Amino acid sequence: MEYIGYQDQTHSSQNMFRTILKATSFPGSIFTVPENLETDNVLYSSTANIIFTLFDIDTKIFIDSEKISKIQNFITFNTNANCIEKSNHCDFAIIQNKEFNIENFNLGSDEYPDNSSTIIIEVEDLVNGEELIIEGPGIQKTKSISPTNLPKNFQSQWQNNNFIFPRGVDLILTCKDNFFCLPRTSKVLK
Amino acid sequence: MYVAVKGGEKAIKSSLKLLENKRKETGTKSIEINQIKEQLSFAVDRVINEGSLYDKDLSALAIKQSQGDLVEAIFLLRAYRTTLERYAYSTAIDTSKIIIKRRISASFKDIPGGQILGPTFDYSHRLLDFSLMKEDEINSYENINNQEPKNKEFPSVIDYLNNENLLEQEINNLKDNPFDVTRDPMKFPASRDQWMQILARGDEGFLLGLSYSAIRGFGSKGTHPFVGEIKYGIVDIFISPDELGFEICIGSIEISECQMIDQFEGNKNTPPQFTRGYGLTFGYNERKSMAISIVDRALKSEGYGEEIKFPIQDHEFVLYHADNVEAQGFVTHLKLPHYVDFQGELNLIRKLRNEILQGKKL
Amino acid sequence: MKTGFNFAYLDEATKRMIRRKILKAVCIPGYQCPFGGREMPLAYGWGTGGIQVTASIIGKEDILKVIDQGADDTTNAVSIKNFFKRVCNIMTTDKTAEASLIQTRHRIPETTLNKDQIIVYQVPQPEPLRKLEPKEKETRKLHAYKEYALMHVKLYEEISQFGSVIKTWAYPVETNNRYITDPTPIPKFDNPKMNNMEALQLFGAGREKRIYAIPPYTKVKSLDFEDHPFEIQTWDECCSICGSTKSYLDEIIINNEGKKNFICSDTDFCKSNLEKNK
Repeated sequence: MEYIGYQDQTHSSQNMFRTILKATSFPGSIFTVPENLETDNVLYSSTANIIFTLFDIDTKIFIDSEKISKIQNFITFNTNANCIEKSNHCDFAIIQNKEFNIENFNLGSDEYPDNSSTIIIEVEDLVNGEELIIEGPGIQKTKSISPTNLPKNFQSQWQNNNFIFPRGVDLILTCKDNFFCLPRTSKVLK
Repeated sequence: MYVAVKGGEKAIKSSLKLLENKRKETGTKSIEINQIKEQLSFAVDRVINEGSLYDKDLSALAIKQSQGDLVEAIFLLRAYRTTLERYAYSTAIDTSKIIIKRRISASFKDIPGGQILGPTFDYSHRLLDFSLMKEDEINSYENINNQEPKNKEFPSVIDYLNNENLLEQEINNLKDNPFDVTRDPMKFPASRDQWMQILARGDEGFLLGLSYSAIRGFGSKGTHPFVGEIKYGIVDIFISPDELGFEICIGSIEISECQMIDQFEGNKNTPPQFTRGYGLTFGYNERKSMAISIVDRALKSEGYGEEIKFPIQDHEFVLYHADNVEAQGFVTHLKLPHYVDFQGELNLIRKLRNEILQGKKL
Repeated sequence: MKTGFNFAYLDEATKRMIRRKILKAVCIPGYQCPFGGREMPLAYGWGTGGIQVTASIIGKEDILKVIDQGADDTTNAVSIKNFFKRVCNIMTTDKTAEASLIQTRHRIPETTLNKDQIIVYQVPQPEPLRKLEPKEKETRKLHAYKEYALMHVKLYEEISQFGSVIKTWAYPVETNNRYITDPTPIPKFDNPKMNNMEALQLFGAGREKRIYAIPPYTKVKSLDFEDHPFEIQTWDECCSICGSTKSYLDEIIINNEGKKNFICSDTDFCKSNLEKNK
């Protein structure tokens, strides 16, 4: 296997981090990753950018995908991160399957809610799915999002995630070179 | 004028020059790093400890650069230390396999391997030695190496008490890798690995004062602990790389170790046992290793179900305030300009006084 | 420029660790996120938390502004700015509007910040409840269960003793209706600027090893009581340089008889206000 990450790790990961930071600060707004990363169709370029920016030996990763072993190899080879089997212990999850249950992930504790999973969901499309209206910090009034491929009961799952605040998970939805964030503070109005 | 704090760049440059000049302006001969290392070895050893970096040359350099301000030297070494990459983790050192330089027990008259006094200030009369005022060259010294012990192994003296189960056992109950205070934020209640690290790099003066408070009366039992054993010597450091599958020695370091025996615990059902405190430092830092062993014992109070009454027993009190790099930074930050906040206070106190004084006139 | 250090001083692994914590902090507004703070070559208490946050986010395109007490040329601000110039070789500015990244101690600039800017606060004590409860184990529980009676009682006691809340700086706020947050030792004059600010606000406490954040467009409310609403400082005087009546003023004693003058604490605001009025 060949390392396919950033040529200039320091500045490229800084640039990508700032993009993720902005996306986390402005939930629902779609951002384009600064570099296109080729992964042999194992992962989207946007997901790969996140991996190269945030994953390392100190992170535990859970993967739910048909291509699990390929993804696992990709991550361990390139970042040294630990791929684990228990979703409720992971720092990051990469999800390619349509069905998932937020409650199976690490929701953190009331004292340390930051000790919780960030779930990266690869979807087919970020704009042509069912419309959801969100509000919360980082959103001036409301914001419309329309990703495809979310579980049918996503809305009630997310409402529960809002309800257990400050515990909960944070989501990053990716598609090709684009992504947006849905932190636990974003509430779905409809 | 107080606005002088606005005017930055030039002032900083001049200030740094003035500081450097302080060392140079009388034109004395520059001290060599080696001279500091060999002739101010206790200062060097304090700095490697609290600086958490076993490098006596850099320690001497830091002492020279800080012009003898040891807290500043410790800070310099720490700031350098954080930029270093980690190549490997050593296995736990074995202090029974030690080239001994000093080893005493206060609890037994004689011990296997013998009491070895070694180099110590203990029985020096504290009289200024005026001959040192004019010491031209150090060219001769009396070799007394023939008195060095032949033993290669010095098992812990107080382990002899274990044969009768008189002493609480030290059991390695670490589930994961040891806590790393240089990488992880503090957690409470603290684990022993966490507090031993904080104490090892903690300020000697702070720990000395705390341990003194405990044995003088502000301690859990107010009893007098017994020095089971104090050791000072050289131990080997091993690493065990995965790819090799066996241990290799990468060098050796000087250490000071103190095993303190303290008041026994127990009740009608559990036979009483002595408790213990442990202190370990880099280099020759016997006083500090003793202080650590007393603080260690006090921090174990909660585990014994003892009432927490005194500062030394309080994890947060001890561990949050032992570090002199943190402490000196925060205390001295008070000299930074605070005039914006002070203006807020002035504004308020005038308003409050006016309201009251005018109210009284009515 | 050769510095002998990694870009922005910190090694990449440390930056990644801090970056992950910053993201969680943004996801949980006002929550104090513990992080493995590193020793910096500047003293604890002198901005090491802010410096670590800035070092983890700064890029070569950034334009950095550093202020202390609202001024760009105070010694500590200059020293921190020089540190980043040395280890990042980046552009710096005094102009609030030009900066992409602002590190501050004790003030929020008078000029309104926009959504493309990030402000990094230096934090001496991140825990607003610390003076009321010294133990971290306890305050962490109080935050977990949103148990803030201690703080309300304290403010109420001040009102009954002095007729008003006597906190004039580090005046506690409630972030997004949840966490009571320490706004850092800014004067309460600046608190309203935090509410619904367009810029991302990041807070770094080096010695205490905490990071927290307030995302853009987030409700930040200064604690008060219905019959004692929150008020900011006002002055009878105006700035003796630019004439502003809207900015936070510093008092300067100008002779031995104690005669005083007032000038803007925000030096960039004062300068541009003066130019505008010419």
